Amino acid sequence: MLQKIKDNDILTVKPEGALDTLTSPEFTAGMEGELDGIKTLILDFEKVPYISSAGVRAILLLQQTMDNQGSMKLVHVNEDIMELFDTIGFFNVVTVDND
Amino acid sequence: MTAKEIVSISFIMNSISVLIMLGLFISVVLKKEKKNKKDRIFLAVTVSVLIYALLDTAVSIPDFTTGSIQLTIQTERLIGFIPHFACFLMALYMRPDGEDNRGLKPSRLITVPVIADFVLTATLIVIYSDRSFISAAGSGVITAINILSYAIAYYYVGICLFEVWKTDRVLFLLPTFFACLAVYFTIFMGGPLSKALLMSGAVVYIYVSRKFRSLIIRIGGIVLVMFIFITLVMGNEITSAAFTSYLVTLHDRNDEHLRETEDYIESFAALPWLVDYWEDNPEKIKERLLADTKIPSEQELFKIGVDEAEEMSKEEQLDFAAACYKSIDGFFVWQFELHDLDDLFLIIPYDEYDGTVLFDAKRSPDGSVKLGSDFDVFEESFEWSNYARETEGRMHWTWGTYKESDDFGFYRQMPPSRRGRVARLCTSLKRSDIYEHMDFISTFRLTAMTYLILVAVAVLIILYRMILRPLLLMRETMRRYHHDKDPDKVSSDMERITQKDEIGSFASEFSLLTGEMRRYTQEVELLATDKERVASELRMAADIQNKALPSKFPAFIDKPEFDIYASMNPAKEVGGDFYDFFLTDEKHLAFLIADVSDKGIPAALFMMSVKNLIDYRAQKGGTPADILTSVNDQICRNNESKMFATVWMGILDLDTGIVICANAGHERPAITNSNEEFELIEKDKHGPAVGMIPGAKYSDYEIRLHHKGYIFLYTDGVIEAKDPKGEFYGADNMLLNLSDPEDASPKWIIDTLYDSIDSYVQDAKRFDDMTMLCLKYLGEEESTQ
Repeated sequence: MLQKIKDNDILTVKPEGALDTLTSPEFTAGMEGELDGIKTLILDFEKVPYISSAGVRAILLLQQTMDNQGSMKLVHVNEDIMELFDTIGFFNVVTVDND
Repeated sequence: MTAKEIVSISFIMNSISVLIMLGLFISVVLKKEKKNKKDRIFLAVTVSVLIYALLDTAVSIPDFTTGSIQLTIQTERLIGFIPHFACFLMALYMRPDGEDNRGLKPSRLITVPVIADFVLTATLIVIYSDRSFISAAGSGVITAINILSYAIAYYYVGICLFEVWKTDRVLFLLPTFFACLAVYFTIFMGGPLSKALLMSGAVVYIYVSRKFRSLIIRIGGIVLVMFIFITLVMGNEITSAAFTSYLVTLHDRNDEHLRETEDYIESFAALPWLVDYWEDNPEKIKERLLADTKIPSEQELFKIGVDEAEEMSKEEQLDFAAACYKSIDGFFVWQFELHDLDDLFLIIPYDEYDGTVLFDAKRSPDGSVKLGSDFDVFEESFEWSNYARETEGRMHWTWGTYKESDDFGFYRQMPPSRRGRVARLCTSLKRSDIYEHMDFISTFRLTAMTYLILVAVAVLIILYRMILRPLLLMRETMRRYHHDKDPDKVSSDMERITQKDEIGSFASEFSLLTGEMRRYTQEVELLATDKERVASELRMAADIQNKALPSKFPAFIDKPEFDIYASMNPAKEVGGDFYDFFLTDEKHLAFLIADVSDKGIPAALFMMSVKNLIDYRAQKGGTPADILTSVNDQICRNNESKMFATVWMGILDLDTGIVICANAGHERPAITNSNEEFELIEKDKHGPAVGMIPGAKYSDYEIRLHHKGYIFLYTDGVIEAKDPKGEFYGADNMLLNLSDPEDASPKWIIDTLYDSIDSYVQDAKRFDDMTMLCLKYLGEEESTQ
């Protein structure tokens, strides 16, 4: 469900499945304690088809942590999610690098 | 009733039991259901028994018709073995946990021949016993004890054969062993009475064990079998040893007398000649004995040798032989009377069954000596046959029964005569002595058995007190616990079991368990109360939340310029969505919809605060952008938990239909165009969700509602409702279902959309809050700008 690749201080996380009210707490719990000493967090959204406001909040919380210790970016975000991010003004908060 | 009649009836009863078996056999053969393993075994065994029975009956008929009672009794024993064996078969066939479903009750059927056989054999024993009825009954008691053991043993043989096939139960292996022994004893040594009692015992035991499936009966069965077996073995050993030593003593004593007699006879130097002469001339000797002639002294007679005797004249020879005969006969009578012997005689055997008598201490019926008389084992008596056999000094004790043919007689061989005749000097043990002693030993054995049985009973009582009683108490306690669920009663009951062994620890564990159960139950109850409390609090929270939203429709009766309707439908008890509308002044209506991130209580709390902030800020005037910018700043100031809300807000000018609006990351509302078709607002300039970015600026934009135009606000719960396959409802679908309102009321529009979503979702669970707001503008349309 949650694939993690750690390379020194770079952590790549690849969640699988929608991030909604039901799955977000699981995602947040899965990330607990993983960010110690991490400078760069990469969230690979290749396998995330859909995200709800609960999922957005989970990312927002991760962003808040990473703001204090390094940087975070999202990759492979699909169009639907991009649209949602655009709607709620999320691009002002997170960095999305789809290339 | 004569013995012959009794034997006939016994024969008939046995035949009946054979017929019953035949009947059962046929019923199994004709059984409609498929024959199982048990049936096949039954058939196989029955066939062999029937063949045996028929053969045996055929053999016994001649004996039976000739009326030779002695032989018939032997045969009766053999035939009588058939119902006996049939009973064993029944035990095998209807083992306690099996079911006899063919309507016949073999246990009942078999009772008839069993009882008949019992009565008949008992009668036979009494009639043909040379002892009293009481003595016979006494030996019956002993056999009854034997029989019980056989019965139990047979029962177990039946069970074990099946149980060992099915499961390996150690408990039954021991009885199986004993059972095999018991069967062996019954077949080879058992008397008719034991057989009859055994059968009834088996039936009773089968009945009891089927009726009462109690541990004590099962254990008791094993204990009894073991004890009875021990009793049998020990009793027999003791009896055998005691009786044999007694017989040996008797024999030695009588043998001493025989030797004395032998020595005396051998003192006659002419004995080899005398034996031949006596045998050849019995009548002359008898005649001469009657004549009162002078007898020379013994010393003189001893000295005369064979050669001297042959040289005598015929008359002298007769006188000499008669004198010797008289001396020896006198010695015989003297020995016989002095030692109170049963028998004392000298015979010359010709073959196994007959010969001629030389001397006998007893006289013929006419008072004369028995010299020269023949003996024939068949004509005389059975006792004679003993003396004709070469069984010197061999005596046997045969399993507690006196037999007519017991070998109590014995003999010494004399030196051969001139012709080579070997005479035998015979005697027998006195029967009355033996019987007396036997009765004594029987009493002793009976006492020993009684004591052992008492010990067995004591063992059973100990077993009962140690195992069964606490187990029964525990069962009773468990039963009561089922009803009253009172662990205190359980522990007070369990305290009565004071043993410190496995049973005791079981009892205390059980007591602890019920205590644990109570704690667990209490915890569950507490949890249930907690859950109930949380649920009621949630209901109250939901109530508060609902009442915080304007929910009275129609909302503004005095404002004909618009009609508004809204509804909120949280996925959980409380939700994160909300709508709101209020007049900021006489001419302006503020309306908004918002969606807080996440669901449930945290979302509801945040929602209330956002709602109040907007409400409060809006009262101070300003455009929606001003209001959202200000509210965003306020929220961001204390928002460590990163909650955010998307908000769409508009302020409608009631006179012109112009809506000034701002969007903080919310879904674009739908409005009706000039064709009265709903479409999403194109020029929606939106900022970030409220609470997400501190210091974010929002900008206003303007839309126009024409007369009877609609604006429809919604949260993502509407377009993201999923059908069972997980497909979204979607904005296009929503617009399609909103189209063509035809002057309908906002309430109708929302209700219609709800129905559409409901039928789309079907029975899939709804995860998101769903909130909608619809405004219909009825005021003047600003003609031109």
